[in-house]
Amino acid sequence: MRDLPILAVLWVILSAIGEWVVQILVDHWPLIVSAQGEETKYAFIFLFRVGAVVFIGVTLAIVYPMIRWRVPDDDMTDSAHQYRANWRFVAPWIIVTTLLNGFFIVHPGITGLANIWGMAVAAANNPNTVEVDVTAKQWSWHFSYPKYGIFDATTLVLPVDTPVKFVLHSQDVIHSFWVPSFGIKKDVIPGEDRVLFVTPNKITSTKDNLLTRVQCAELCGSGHSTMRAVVQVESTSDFESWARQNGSSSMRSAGAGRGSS
Amino acid sequence: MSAPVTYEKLSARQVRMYWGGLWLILLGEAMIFVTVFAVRFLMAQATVSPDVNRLLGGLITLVFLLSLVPAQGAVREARQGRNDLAGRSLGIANLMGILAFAGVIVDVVTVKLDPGSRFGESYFLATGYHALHIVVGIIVLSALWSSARRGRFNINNHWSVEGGVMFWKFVVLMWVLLYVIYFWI
Amino acid sequence: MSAHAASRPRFVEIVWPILRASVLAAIGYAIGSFGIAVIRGGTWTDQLSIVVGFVLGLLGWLLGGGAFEAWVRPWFGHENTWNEGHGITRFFRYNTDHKVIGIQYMWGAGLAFLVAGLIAMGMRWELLTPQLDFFTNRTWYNTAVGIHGSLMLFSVSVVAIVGGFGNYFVPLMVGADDMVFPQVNGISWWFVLPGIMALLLSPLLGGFETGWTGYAPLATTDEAGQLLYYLGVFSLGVSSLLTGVNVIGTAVYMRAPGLTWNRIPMFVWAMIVTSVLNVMWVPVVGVDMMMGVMDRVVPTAFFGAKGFPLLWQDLFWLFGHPEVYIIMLPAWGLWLEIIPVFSRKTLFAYRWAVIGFIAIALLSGTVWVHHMFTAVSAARLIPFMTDTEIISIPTGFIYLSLIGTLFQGRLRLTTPMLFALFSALNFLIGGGTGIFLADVPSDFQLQDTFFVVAHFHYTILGGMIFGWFAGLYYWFPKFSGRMYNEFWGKFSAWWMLVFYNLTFFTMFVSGLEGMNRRIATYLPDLTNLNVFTSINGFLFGVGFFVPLLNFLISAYRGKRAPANPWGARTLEWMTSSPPPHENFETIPVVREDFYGYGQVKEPEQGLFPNPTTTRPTGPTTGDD
Repeated sequence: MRDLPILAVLWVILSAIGEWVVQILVDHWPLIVSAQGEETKYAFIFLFRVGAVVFIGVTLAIVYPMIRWRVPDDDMTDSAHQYRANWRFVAPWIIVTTLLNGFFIVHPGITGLANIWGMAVAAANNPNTVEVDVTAKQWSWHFSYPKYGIFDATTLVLPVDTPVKFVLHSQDVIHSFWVPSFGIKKDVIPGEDRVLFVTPNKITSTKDNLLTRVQCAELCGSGHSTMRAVVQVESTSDFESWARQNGSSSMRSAGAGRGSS
Repeated sequence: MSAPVTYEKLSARQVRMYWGGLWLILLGEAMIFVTVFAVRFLMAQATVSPDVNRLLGGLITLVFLLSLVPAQGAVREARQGRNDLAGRSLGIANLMGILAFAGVIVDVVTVKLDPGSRFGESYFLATGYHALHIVVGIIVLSALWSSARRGRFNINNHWSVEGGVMFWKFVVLMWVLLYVIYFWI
Repeated sequence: MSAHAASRPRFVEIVWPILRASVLAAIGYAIGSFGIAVIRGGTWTDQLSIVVGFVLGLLGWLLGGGAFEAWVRPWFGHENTWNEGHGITRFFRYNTDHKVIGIQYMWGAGLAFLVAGLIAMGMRWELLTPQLDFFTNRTWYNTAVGIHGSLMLFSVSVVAIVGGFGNYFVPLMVGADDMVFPQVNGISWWFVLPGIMALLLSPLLGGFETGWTGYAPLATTDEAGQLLYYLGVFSLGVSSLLTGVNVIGTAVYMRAPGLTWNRIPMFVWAMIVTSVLNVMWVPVVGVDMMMGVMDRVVPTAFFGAKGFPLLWQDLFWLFGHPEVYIIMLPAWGLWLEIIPVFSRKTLFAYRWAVIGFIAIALLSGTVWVHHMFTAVSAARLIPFMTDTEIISIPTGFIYLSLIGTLFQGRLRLTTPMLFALFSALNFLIGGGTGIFLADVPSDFQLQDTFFVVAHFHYTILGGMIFGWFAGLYYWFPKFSGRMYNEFWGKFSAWWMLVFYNLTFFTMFVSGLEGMNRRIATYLPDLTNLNVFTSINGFLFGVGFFVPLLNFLISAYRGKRAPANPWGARTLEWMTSSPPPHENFETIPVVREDFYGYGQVKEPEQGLFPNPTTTRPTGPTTGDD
């Protein structure tokens, strides 16, 4: 019957339009300024591109019959085509959906995670990694840089293109450490230390774009909405001078002393 | 108020339905205890606090296990339509259940466990939740005893006794597991 | 049965059991809370007082509504003297007729939906501006979020279809004269209102901060309204559990002759699978709630810094994820019931759809950590991402069946059909966006943003609620005996589709633009998105008055409905609208499946009156 070729053509045309729309959205994507954020953004966009085609296909399969085979409400005639199953439809559907799902698990699922973990391992072994102790409490953020002797800062200042190791502590309830433009977050659990590695890759700050801010992302009480902090990503030299200005005169080694927590 | 009559005859299908329903409820209840016991191992791994009163726990276990004798006896007697004997057996089982419950209360009140400690909190969660089930079991046995005294059961319809005693057996089984898991392992 | 004096005024005759239940509830609460206060030398608003008060109040409520005469006295060997009423009085008292109970659940769900929906309108009013202006402080906003979510998830989503349609239609669809345990069924509804009341009264104790997910340790240290959250959810859970046992038992034991397992209607399959999930997982969340209460009241330290803060989430989501399938499965069942009827076409791939339901249920207990990807250790990420992705495969079988049925059918786009198809389209977006959340790297950015809020509203509101409306319009003629107004029905379907999508699609964008969840105030750059969302949200909300009025007015003034206005083939349509008390005048004998259109000529399909078949003996009164 001629429906199948028509559907196929419609699917191709609408998918092309759909991909064009997706591309416009991708070109206007919210700001992402970290290496890890590139991974999470890539994963989303990959799924978006493939998902758009699938979505258009299934929507077409539902809407086309609504138009093509519509009859008045009081027409009780049975359809002339009656079949309980058709392996030509069932088998490809099951095979394709299974393969597609399996594929997504591997890519961008496992591959994305592998990349993020790889970056974390590299950062852990990198002597240049800046360590920031993050203390979350109801309802503010406090940052300490043990190597630089900076304690209890309320602005997060970071060097660009340098791995940062965030060590997350909570003084009370569960919070979540999130800088939207870093594209990744991690929950902060009382009684445990959590570690998040981020490598910012653009010089920017909360003044430039509100997405570059620390925002608590786990409901933590009445102050949750305003539990924020200003973020500044600077060049390495600017960061060093900031650290020198704000740190204690005697530089402490990494092991001694911690942020007030 | 008309005089109470004995129960109508149950068909085999109805009996199967009632057993099916009871097993479904017990399945749900079992999920409760699976969760509670799993939490215990998560919280305190295999350690058992030395402060648990094994002797008292053992006595409670003994009373529970002994209560199964009159309970099962009541089932047998109800099957024969002997309401008088069944009533007496149910009464004895009930009293033993109440005695065991009293033991649990004494234990919970006197045990020197800190409810904020890892082992202590799971201990109180388990004994508390189980105690609620003992209370339900006592109510069930009391109701069955009262019905038997009014001559409601007969050869053709004594399912309430079978089902109620099965629930009591479940309560006893859960206690035995609790005793092993919280007092010994 | 003792008769009540015929001279008593009608209104009192209707409401006295509910009044008695309320009075006994208040007395029970007073005894419990004051009793504990006196014993321990505290006040009656202490936490333990509240807990014990609630338990005794619940007991008083249950007994007052009729369980004392109908349950307690017969247990102890007396006669059951409870009058189950007649006409409208049946609905306001303990009653064992599954049709009455179904309508009680439908009203409960409807009222909870109205209240929770109004709360949502309040939330959207607040979010029209970046500052706090409608709610006096953020605790009240968080409490509103919590009550909205808890009511919708625990007292609408499950109660509406599982409690409402499940109770009313499962016995009818299997050809039975009632549920397998009518007494248990009768009491199950009475747990719903106390649960709703507990949640609605939580502001009296200061509200609660955690939202419907009740995360500890915030839940341990916030306002005392959290206790009512625990207790309310527990009560609502008991109701689901009891309904679940009844549905499984009815489907297993009460099927009409000839209704073999491979002929069971899709809605009944969905209900069976849903009920198994209910029986297994509701007890787990019950334990979680109990531990939450203990952490506040004893206090224990299950979820604190010295305990396992994530344990609350693990136990909650072990239940919580199957819960969303408990919510969706009946809606999927409704799609596959309604679409063949209005396509006049055999249901496609019945076996695969059933396999899909069962596989989804089996997998649903293995995926819960995907709610916690940003909180758990790395080792748990890949296994749970894998299971979560895999569950899309059996979900796809439902679309397989749906699409195969639509293709080459003769589609009558009546209101139920429109809602079923719109539900399928909405759920496609909802389920599809779930892929972005199942993928861990993508989830790392999206977790706890409005993207998640949009995703679950698309699945639950776009999927289940639209499905609920499909069922309401489909079955309205059957349970009310009258036809609704078709024009206003279609109007409501299109209105809801348009404004629903305008409201919630925008939230995907807000989430990507950095708006996180459960915030009363936000940064000014998000204002335009939120204004757009709120205005469409108000229009969407207003639209609900159309079906409300349509149903209310049609129930009294609609055209009388025939037994089978849609030309459907399942058993509920083979009896009058509404059905008589015993459901069928003679027991139906099923001779072939319900989805074979265009194959068998009338009158042999479905019901064949056979006077020689004896009715299987149902449960006796005074017994369980």
